[in-house]
Amino acid sequence: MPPRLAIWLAGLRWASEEREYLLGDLEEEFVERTTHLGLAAARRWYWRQALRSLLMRRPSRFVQPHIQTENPPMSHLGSDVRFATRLLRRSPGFTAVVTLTLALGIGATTAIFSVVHAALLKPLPFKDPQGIVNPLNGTNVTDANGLSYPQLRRWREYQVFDALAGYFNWGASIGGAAEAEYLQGIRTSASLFSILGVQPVVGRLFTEAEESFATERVVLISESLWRRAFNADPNIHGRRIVLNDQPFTIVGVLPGWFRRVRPNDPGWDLVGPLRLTEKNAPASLRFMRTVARLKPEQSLAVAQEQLQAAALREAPDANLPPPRVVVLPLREGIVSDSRAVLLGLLGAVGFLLLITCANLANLLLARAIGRRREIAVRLAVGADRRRIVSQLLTESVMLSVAGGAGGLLIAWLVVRAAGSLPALTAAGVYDLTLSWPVLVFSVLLTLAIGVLFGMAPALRAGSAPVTADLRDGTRVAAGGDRLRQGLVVGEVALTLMLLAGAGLLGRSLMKLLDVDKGFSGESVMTFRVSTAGNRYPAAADWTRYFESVMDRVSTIAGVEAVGLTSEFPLADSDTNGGVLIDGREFPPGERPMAQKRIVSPGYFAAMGIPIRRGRDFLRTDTTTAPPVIVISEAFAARWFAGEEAIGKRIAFNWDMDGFQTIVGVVPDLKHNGLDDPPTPAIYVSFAQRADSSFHVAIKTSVPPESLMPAVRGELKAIDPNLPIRGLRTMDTLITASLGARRLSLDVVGAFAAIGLLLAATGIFGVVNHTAQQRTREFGIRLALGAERRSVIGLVMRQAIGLAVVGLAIGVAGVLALGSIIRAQLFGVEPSDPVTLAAVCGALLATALLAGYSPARRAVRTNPANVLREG
Amino acid sequence: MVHNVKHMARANTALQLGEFEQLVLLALVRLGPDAYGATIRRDIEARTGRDLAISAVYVTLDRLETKGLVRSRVGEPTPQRGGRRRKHVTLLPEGRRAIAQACRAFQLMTEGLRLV
Repeated sequence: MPPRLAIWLAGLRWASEEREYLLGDLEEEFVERTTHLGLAAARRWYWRQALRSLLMRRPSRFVQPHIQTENPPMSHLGSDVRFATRLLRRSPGFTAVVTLTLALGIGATTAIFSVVHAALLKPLPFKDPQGIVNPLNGTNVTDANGLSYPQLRRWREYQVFDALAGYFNWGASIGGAAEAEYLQGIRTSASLFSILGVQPVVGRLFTEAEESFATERVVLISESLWRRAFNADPNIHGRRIVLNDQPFTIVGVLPGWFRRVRPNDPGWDLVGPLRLTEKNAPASLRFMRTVARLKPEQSLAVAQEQLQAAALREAPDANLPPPRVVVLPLREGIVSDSRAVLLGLLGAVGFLLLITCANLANLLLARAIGRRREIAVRLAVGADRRRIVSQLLTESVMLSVAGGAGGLLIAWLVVRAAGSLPALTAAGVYDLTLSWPVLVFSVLLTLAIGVLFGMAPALRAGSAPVTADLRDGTRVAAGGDRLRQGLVVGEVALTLMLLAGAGLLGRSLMKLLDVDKGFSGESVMTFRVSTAGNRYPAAADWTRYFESVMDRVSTIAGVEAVGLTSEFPLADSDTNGGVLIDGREFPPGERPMAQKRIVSPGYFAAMGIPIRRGRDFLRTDTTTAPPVIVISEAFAARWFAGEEAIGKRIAFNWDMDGFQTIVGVVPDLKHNGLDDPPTPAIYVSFAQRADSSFHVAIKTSVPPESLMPAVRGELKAIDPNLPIRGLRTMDTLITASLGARRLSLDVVGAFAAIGLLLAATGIFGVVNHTAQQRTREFGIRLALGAERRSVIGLVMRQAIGLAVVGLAIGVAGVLALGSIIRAQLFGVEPSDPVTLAAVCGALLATALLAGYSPARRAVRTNPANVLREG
Repeated sequence: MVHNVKHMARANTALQLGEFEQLVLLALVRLGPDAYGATIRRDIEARTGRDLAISAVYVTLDRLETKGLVRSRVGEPTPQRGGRRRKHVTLLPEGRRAIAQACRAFQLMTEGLRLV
């Protein structure tokens, strides 16, 4: 049996009898060919025959037999298409405007929905993603934080989940490479792979037994590293490599698709087993991220209940509040921050699509009114109404198809260009692809509008007497005008809302950039160096290494200051914990907390952080000198209100014994984002509290990037085997911290601009139409001595009227919907009068501009001519 | 008058046989009275080596029938054809004359030429 579809296609263009003979011949030969040449060849041959039958050019009297029947709907398709093409080509302006309007509306809607779909709706790229959850400490998504290692072990013993895996960031420089390269990775429980459905492409995964500290060090590498560094060697498993000066055995290669759990994780090249002990990972360190798989049939709520109950049964620490746990769907933890932004954008693009539709309706209606007379004439001389309808329909469909194609192109370009934007991966997009259902939806929507409004004159011709149109068709204002005015008012209102949104987002962004960050960060670059490994075994070795880094870098010409910090502002990482204050006792749960940072002398200077009181760290603040500490203003205000903090003693309480004396006060930093509230922070010196890894901050008097080769050279001279990583300038960090806001502003701003343009064409269209209709009246007025200015005023009044009604509705809309956008604002209210006034002003100016040219034309007509014509 | 126009049209078609029409007519001469779409298609394909669409054969047969050069009759359905009937085509004397004329013209034109 030949392929059914091919049979259908082969017979599609033939009359039923002829089809029978032709298909019979084809089948006869198909059977023969199957026996002689095989089924595949026969099918190929049949398909070729079918397509040629479908595409044949020379018609016969048996092809499309309904041509002979009465008034077939599609028989004139060819001539209709030709006629419509001619008409559309004759008014290129109209055609271009309609096509472009459609393309923008459809393209923007499809692109934005594609993003929303990819972030919020598309299944996560793991096995059975709906069963994967995120158990964490906390009560909801905003306050949730990671697990400690002892916690992970206890939670596994509760047996609430099918499997529970903990993982944390890890990285290593690989030994033996020409240029020291730092590779990102994680250390994880072996169950991570079964939870996510990861299978190795070469070798094996590691086992639960290999999680123990006592076993040989093993590691899995990414497919990308396998190809890049090992030439895709199929016998790589068993190979020994050196990471951070330690020997590791590669046991397998991970599949190419698995390089991250969250879309904004860096691509992992190394995945190793946990290898933790309760000693090196005590209960106070809650640093682990989790994934777990629910048991079959188990709901998320039940899992959370069981886990909470089990956690409460544990012997509670009397000094701590009772433990709270929360189980989140994996997606929730990923998109919680961006959901509001994404839905806001979806709303904005919805407005844009509405504006597009209104504008399209307006344009088509105007054209329809203009053609009423033409159609009346055709009807009067005996044209078949169905023919006219089919012809108008063809025109609308052709416009929609062109617009749809343009929209597809725009959406495709946007998706291709935006796919890897950091703001999108941060928003939860793993893989951005075009959303076809939405494309089809937008095309159908605009098609419906096109058909509805494009055919208005033909439909109207059915009810109205032809003679009226014949007589007055070109002159009398029609009922369609009111509809058009309504559409323009709607466009103005929606545009105002988009403009207000863009204005509010823009003002928020400006206020954010204007905010006192606590540091200047101007001409600052930063990178991170880690001394992890055998060659720097003791704390003194770390300190010695970093001292020489600072010494050597500060000798480079153009470097103004160098400093170290354990946590760099806006770099997405922070450490906090409890603090002790000498001579004070606190009830459980009310102990002072602070962000804890280890810095070096010179850090405050390099970052432009002013010393408010007291002094900076000095090179003399070493292990042999009295221990000192610097606090932030918020810490001082919270715990030393009304007294002098300098000279008081507090305990850093993190790998440091005893109390340290407060010697200085610095401002609060916007550490996690420019919209951060002031957080108490404390600082100790790296010479008194050593660490193996630091961010280096370099303040320069020249563009910071230009000094990078020299800096690299100095570091290489100290130790060529320590790679630097995360090289960035402060400017890029600030820009990145504004990512989602920036994206929001850009997108809403672009939509508002398009909306403004469309509203302007709408106003222009309506005012121009009215002005043309009133040409005779204006001529009479001018002939009777009216001033040109007053006639211009008459025309402009309509433009202003339309705009003002639209503005009123739009402002009401902004006030009603303002709360939706509130979460994305900073320092402005949704009802911000300055923004609203500015936006109204801009729209009004646009309306005036759109109305001016028809007004000028109205007074430029010669009264004598008008009167003669009349 | 009408008759005249028709006659002229006949004479013209005889002279204006398309190349593919000639091939189909020649195939019909060879295949005899029981020829039909598939056999014609295969005969031409086998001899000329052209990959031929059945639809082209049907379009041509239809035109030849309109020109009065062939006649068709419907046969019985057969299982190899999926129970579909067959349309047999027979060459009419008019068709035979037309193709003979075309061949003669061709012969006259090619006589004494060395083309390859």
